[in-house]
Formats: sequence, structure tokens, C-alpha cells
Amino acid sequence: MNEVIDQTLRGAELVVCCGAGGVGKTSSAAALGMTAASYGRKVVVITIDPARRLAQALGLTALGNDPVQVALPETVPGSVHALMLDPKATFDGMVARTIKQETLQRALQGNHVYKLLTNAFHGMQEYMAVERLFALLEDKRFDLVVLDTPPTTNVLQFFDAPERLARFFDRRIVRWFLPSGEGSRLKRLLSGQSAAMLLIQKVAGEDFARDLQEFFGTMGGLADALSQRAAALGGLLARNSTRYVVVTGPEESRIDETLAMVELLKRRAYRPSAVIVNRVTPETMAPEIAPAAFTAPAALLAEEHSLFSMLAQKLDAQRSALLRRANLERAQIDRLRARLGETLVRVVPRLDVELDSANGIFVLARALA
Amino acid sequence: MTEAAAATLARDRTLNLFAKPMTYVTGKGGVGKTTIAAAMALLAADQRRRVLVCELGSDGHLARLFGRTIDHEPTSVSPFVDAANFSAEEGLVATLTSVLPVERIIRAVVQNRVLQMFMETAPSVREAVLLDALGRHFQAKKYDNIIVDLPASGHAVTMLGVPQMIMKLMRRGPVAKKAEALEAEIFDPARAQILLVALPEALPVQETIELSQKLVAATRMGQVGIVLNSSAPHLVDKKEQALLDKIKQEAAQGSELRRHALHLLQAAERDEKALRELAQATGLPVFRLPRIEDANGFQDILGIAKAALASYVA
Ligand SMILES: Nc1ncnc2c1ncn2[C@@H]1O[C@H](COP(=O)(O)OP(=O)(O)OP(=O)(O)O)[C@@H](O)[C@H]1O
Ligand SMILES: Nc1ncnc2c1ncn2[C@@H]1O[C@H](COP(=O)(O)OP(=O)(O)OP(=O)(O)O)[C@@H](O)[C@H]1O
Ligand SMILES: [Mg+2]
Ligand SMILES: [Mg+2]
Repeated sequence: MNEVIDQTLRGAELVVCCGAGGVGKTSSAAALGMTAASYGRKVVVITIDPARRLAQALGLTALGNDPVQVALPETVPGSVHALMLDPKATFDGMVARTIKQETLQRALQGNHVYKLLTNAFHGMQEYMAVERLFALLEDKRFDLVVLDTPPTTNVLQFFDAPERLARFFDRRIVRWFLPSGEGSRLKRLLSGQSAAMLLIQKVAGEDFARDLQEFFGTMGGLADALSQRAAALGGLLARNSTRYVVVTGPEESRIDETLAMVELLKRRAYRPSAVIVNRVTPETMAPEIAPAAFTAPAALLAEEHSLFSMLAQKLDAQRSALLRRANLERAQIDRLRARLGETLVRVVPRLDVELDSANGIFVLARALA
Repeated sequence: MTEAAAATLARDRTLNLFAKPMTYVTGKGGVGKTTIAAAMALLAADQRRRVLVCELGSDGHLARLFGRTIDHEPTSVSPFVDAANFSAEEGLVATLTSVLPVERIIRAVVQNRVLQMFMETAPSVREAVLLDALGRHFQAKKYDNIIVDLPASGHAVTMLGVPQMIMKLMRRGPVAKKAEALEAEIFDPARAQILLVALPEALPVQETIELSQKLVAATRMGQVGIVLNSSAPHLVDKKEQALLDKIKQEAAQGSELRRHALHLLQAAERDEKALRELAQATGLPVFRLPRIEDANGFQDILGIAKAALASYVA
């Protein structure tokens, strides 16, 4: 196995794939999973990407909230499961565990704030992924979890989601809405004692204020569970067995972004164990040789020769552009290596196959490892 | 629609990019949304339109493209072009003021730590404030065109749904009213449109089709077209394609000639397939923007992208 990939997978219990949009996080997560399975690991790959990319990449027709096994050749000693997070189902499950009374649960289902929170709360998806992560790490069927982080959210937002959610349920906020000895705090606030609470009622409407009160009244108890989760996640992310893989491309802007991301990770003492420079022009990795002119194959007919010479011009233009591009990419990869060191960087070429089947991912896994 | 009709459609329509004063650019992550939004702005400026290109609280991709810092307040980045990266923190007070113009109360919010925390973490407050900042600039009519570099697919759909969601959530009160007005302003189908960006690869094409369908369901705004970015830099006609096929068979395995012929052929086939599938599934016009293999940095790409877009614009 390639050294960079080996150091990433050896002793790993959780591999977090992060990187900018479209660089190949999902494909790489799947390929890393396959690689680990070929070394006997029992892997589960979890994606939050609602675009069903992972399912497509692994040749699965459907991917749900529960792990589905990927069909692999019999020669592979390990296994790969995949699952796509359903944040709503996970959240409902968590609420059902925390809130035992059925009447309260039913009330929540009709509560607008609850609905909003499960569907649109920024960070809810990420938080639910964290919930799921903990469950999977405990799951005896698996010994390695590979996490494919969602596009656009920068990975730190992802890590911060539990804390953010915990802050939403902060006692100081929740307390406004909880009944207390001398009548509900909300009532006191609404009766004019607090300009701040009045504001919520005034700008957001009384219905909303009521929903909010009901919501916090029921869910307030979550605050402690959430803060504990946030703390536990902090611990998990700092573990030695948690590895970070930053996926990137060979373009100048991608390398800039990657260097910035590695800095951010390091600032939190999360050390990336691999930077995958994906979809590199194959010429970048080949030795530089002066290109020879294209000559027509002997089998071409005489009348095809004039068309061939026109085509040869296009082929030549294409080759020159690719070679110039290879030079640019080489310079960018060198820059990355100079900053991060050889032991972190793994270069993966742009493949000619479509990565829309388990077969394609196999090819990528081979190029990776 | 037949395949042939779809293919013709894809070639013959011209892109009416600037007819509506507001354009939202979106697509899968990394497909070139920011590049195309910026190239569009430069193109509009060439037509002597005053234009604002903006991001909604991003990590600052526009800043890198234009090589300077870009903040909440629009700044000039080139003649006729202003750029902004709206910030929820900086927009909050202005948005609150527009909902409830009572200074005493706003001060209470901004100074109360608990309320501040609530605002920071409450669902969609951030998105609403960003959209409201956009709405203020749209309403001011200082620009002929505003180009919005939206986040990637899923997040963009959520973002466009924020005003409606607030209306559903609050039903009554000034915020609900404000959300309704904002929606009517910035997502007005008569004045605002969506431009999609895709890549000529199987999965990104599939995702673009799904995105287009989701947007039809999520908003009344129309989609002007799809830019097929990083498409094949060299076009080949049918005759050339046939010859390339022959070379594929006749040239020695592993030879330079065969490898480059395959590359050329594959790029052309991928393009054709993407054009056909996108046009068929969405009924939208599709415009190729070639992959710029050897651009030296993004400034270069920006210039070439602008020129390529210009060839489609009426
Ligand atoms: N090494 C490679 N060679 C060729 N194509 C690749 C390679 N790696 C990824 N791709 C292709 O690039 C596209 C983007 O890959 P992928 O979906 O894995 O990226 P992502 O980072 O997960 O994207 P998003 O940010 O949208 O979730 C896909 O079409 C995939 O097939
Ligand atoms: N036609 C093109 N030819 C070559 N490179 C391109 C082309 N279009 C965009 N790029 C490059 O691709 C990369 C991604 O482009 P860009 O940042 O515009 O994508 P985006 O969709 O805005 O990404 P994100 O989802 O991360 O915001 C950049 O390095 C850009 O310079
Ligand atoms: Mg992905
Ligand atoms: Mg962008």
C-alpha cells in the first residue's frame, strides 16, 4: 500500500474526508473504504450528501439511514457498508429516546419550531451526523468509519455543529420558556418585564412565541445531552485513531484553499494524515519528453490523409495544452509538498473511467493505494 | 422531445443573460459558479451596465478572483463592477431595523448576550439577514444587474426557500410580513432568474438535472439555461469522429497517437452526452464553456470565460 494511505488507515477508527466542493470527497471516501476492506477491515462509509452520490458511486440503487452492504468480489477479505444520513429520522429517534411521554412527542410533531429545526436548521444535519457517528463507532459490525463531509460547509462548521446546537438550547435561553414557581417566566416577560422577550413576540407573532415556548418546554431537557455530546465530539476528533484526509485538486485556487484548511485543522490540533491531490492531469506525473509529431497509421486510406493532418493539428494543440497544464500542476504540487512535506501528499491522476459504479471506485482505489 | 430536437435546441438558442435585473448562479460544488458569476459581471460591464456581483457569506472566493478584499459593503473591483460578500453579522442591525424600527428594542437585542446567542444559533436567521441585505441593494436600483453567486445545490435550494419557510413558521407579525415582501422582491419571476452550471460528467449531470427539478418545485423563478463548464476544448465533427474511431483501432496500443485520439474522442462524446441529457431532461438551453487547460491562474480563466460567454449572449 502507498505509505501515505497506509499511515492514514493503520490504526484508524474514524477517517474524516474533507475538502472544497466537487474535488472528489465522496469518491475518495468510497475508495478509501474499498482499500481498507481489501486489507480485511470492516468498513462503514457514511455520507450526508443529499445528492445520493455515494449510492451511485457504489452502484447501490438505494441508500438509507441504515447501513447497506456493498457487493464486493469474494477475494476481498473485509467488507464495506454504506449509509446516507436521514437527519429527520435520526432526530426523531433521538427525541423519542429523550422524551418518553407520548403526548409530548405528539405535541412536538405538530409544533412549527420543531419542524423547522429538523428540516432547516443549519447545522442540524451535521449534528445528526455526529449522533450517528457515535452509534457507528460502537457498532460491533464495523471497525472503521469513513465520514464523507457535505459540500460547501467548511469542515470546521461541521465540527462546531454540536456546540452550536447546544448553545441554542443554552439554559439561559431555555429558562425564559420554562414554567417557574411564580408563574411562567415567559408570562412575566410577556407582561412587559423584558423588552427582549416582547420583541420576539412582537416581531415574530404570538403563534410563534407560543410554539417556541412549547418547544423549549419539551426539549429543554436536551440541553445537557447536547453539551455532553459536544464535549464527547471534541474528544473524538482529537483522538489519535481519528484521521483527517483533505481532498483537493491541482489548481492554484484549490491548493490555496487546502493550505488554509490544513492550517485551520492544525490550529485545533487535528493533524491531517493525508492530502489527496485528486484528478491530476496524467502528464503531470510522467517524465517530461519532447513530443514527436503525430504520423498517420499505415492503415489510413489516401483520401483520409488530408483529414488526418487537420486532426493532427487538433491533437497537437490538445497535447501542448495538456503539457502546459501539467507544468502548472507540477508547480502547484511542488508548492504543496514544500509546505506540508512529502509524507502527507498523495497524487491521484484524472481517470478516464466514469466513477459511477463500484467498478469505477475500484479503479480509483487502485490509483489511490 | 426527440434527441435530435434537443441537440438542435442546445445549439441554436442564445443566452439572454441580462434581460432580468437579478440572476442567481448555482450548481454542484466546484463546477465553476463563482468563476461564471464573475465572468458574467465583467461581460455586463462591457455592455456598459452597472453591475453588482455578490456572495452570501462565503469564504471569499470572489476576493481571490479579483485579488482584493471584498466585504459586506459593495466595492468597485473594475469599471462598472462592484462586488460584495454579504455578512450576517454586519447585516443584522439593518434587518432588525427594517422589521421593527424602534431603536430602544434593537439596542436591547444587540446588547443582550442571551438574545444575541439566540439570534446567532436560531434556524435561518443568518440566511434571512443575507437575503435581506441583497434585497436592500436590489430595491435601491443602483445597479442594472445583480449577479448572485449562490452556494452549491442543496444549500441553494434551502436558501431560496427561507422566506417561505419563515412565513409558514410565523404566520403573522412583522417578520412574516417582511419575509413575504422580501420574497416578492428578490424572487420575483418577472425580474429574477436562475442560471445553472454543470460539468460534462455522468454524476454532475445527474445532479444538475435533479437540482433543476427541485428548483422548479421550490421557486417560481425561471431558469435561463445551463452553462456546461469545462466542456471539450476542441470540437470534432462527424467525419473527424469517424477517423478518430479508425485511429483508435489502427494505431498501436499505448502509442501517443492513440492515447491523444482517445482523449479527444472521449471529451467530445462526454460533451455530446451531457448536452443531450441536460437538454432532454430539463428542456433548458445548454451552453458550452470550454475547459481552459493551460490558464495561468484564475484571472486568466476569468478573461477567457468572459469571452466564451460573450459568444452566446444576444
Ligand atoms: N480521480 C478522478 N478521475 C476522474 N474523475 C473523478 C476523479 N475523482 C472524482 N472524479 C469525478 O469528479 C466528480 C466529483 O466527485 P465527487 O462527487 O466525489 O466530489 P465531492 O467532493 O464529493 O463533491 P461535492 O462537494 O459536490 O460533494 C464526479 O463526477 C467524480 O466521478
Ligand atoms: N472553464 C474552466 N476551465 C478551467 N478551469 C476552470 C474553468 N472554470 C472554473 N475553473 C476552475 O475551477 C475551480 C473551481 O471554480 P469555482 O471556484 O468558480 O467553482 P465554484 O462552483 O464556485 O466552487 P465552490 O462550490 O467551491 O464555490 C477554480 O480553480 C477555477 O479557476
Ligand atoms: Mg460529495
Ligand atoms: Mg464558489
